[in-house]
Amino acid sequence: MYTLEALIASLIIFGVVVFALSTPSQFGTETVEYTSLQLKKYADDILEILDLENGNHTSLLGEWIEDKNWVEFDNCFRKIGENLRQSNLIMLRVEVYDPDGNLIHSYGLPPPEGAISSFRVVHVSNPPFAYEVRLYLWYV
Amino acid sequence: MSLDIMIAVSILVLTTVFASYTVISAFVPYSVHDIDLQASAYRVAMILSEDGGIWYENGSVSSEWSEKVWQNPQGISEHLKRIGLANSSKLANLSYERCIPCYLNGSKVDTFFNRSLWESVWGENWRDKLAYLIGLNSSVRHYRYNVSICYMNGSVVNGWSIGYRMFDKEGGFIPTTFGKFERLVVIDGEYDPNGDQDPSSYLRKLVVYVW
Repeated sequence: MYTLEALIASLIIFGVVVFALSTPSQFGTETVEYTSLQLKKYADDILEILDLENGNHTSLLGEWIEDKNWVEFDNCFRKIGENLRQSNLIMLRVEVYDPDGNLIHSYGLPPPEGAISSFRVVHVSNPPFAYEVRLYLWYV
Repeated sequence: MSLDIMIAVSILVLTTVFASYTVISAFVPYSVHDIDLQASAYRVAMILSEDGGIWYENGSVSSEWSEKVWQNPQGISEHLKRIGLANSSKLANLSYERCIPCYLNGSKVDTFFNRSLWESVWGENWRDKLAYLIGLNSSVRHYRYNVSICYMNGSVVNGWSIGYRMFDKEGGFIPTTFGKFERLVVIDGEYDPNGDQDPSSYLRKLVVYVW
């Protein structure tokens, strides 16, 4: 008889512990897949916004690359990087590749393994080449 | 004695079922419910942040739903229902792959939140009208939404928040299990790619919560 009561008590305690541990966390519903997707969309959005076409049929990214204006380029990504780091604990690195695939400019620390990347092909008119801008994002 | 045994067996069965569910859940990274919430948040964020979004209309790709609002609000509402918005109570039944069946990944779609467009159509009441159009305030929903435009530090821009409130009167966060997705956008009428503006200071976050 005592064995049965002990068993019941054990089960109740076990049930309570399991229930407590399984209570959903307020901050725990983001999945790994959506975390990656979220980073990817951040990167897409940043490149998208900086590559918005202006009246000259080019974009800020296009103008910076065409003019080799790396000061403005770095300055913009530095500010965006600061925003992302302070608000979302996200780090960034941006790289620019010429049409031959050579890295011609970069800003930021080298990305760790598992960093999410997005790229955008940016056309410049003088000379008429397509450069690749690759943006890496990762959580601190 | 038989009563004791009955109670014991009942507790045993209940505990076993509950423990099994918990153990199985531990090996599954997320529940179906969580996926639905995340997919819903993703879907709303994608559609509201694109300059019009893209969907299939009469067998062909159409776009810029936000700019067609003034032409045919009812027709736009029907499109939104088909892709899981606007008073569709079957939102949860859409799989992740189908959540944006019409979104063309990699296509050049401007990332704008069309505030000035909607304001020109609906006036100062644009937030309520937009919330109504996409069904955020519908009582037939199983889910509740909140969509906000925020500065990068997270504070809401000029009260641009639609849908259900997320905080109770004591300031407590209401959703317990939720999906959340954010996009970085610029606001039309605020940022001009032709102007001499620093884009980094015009970045805003479109934040969608679903619970």
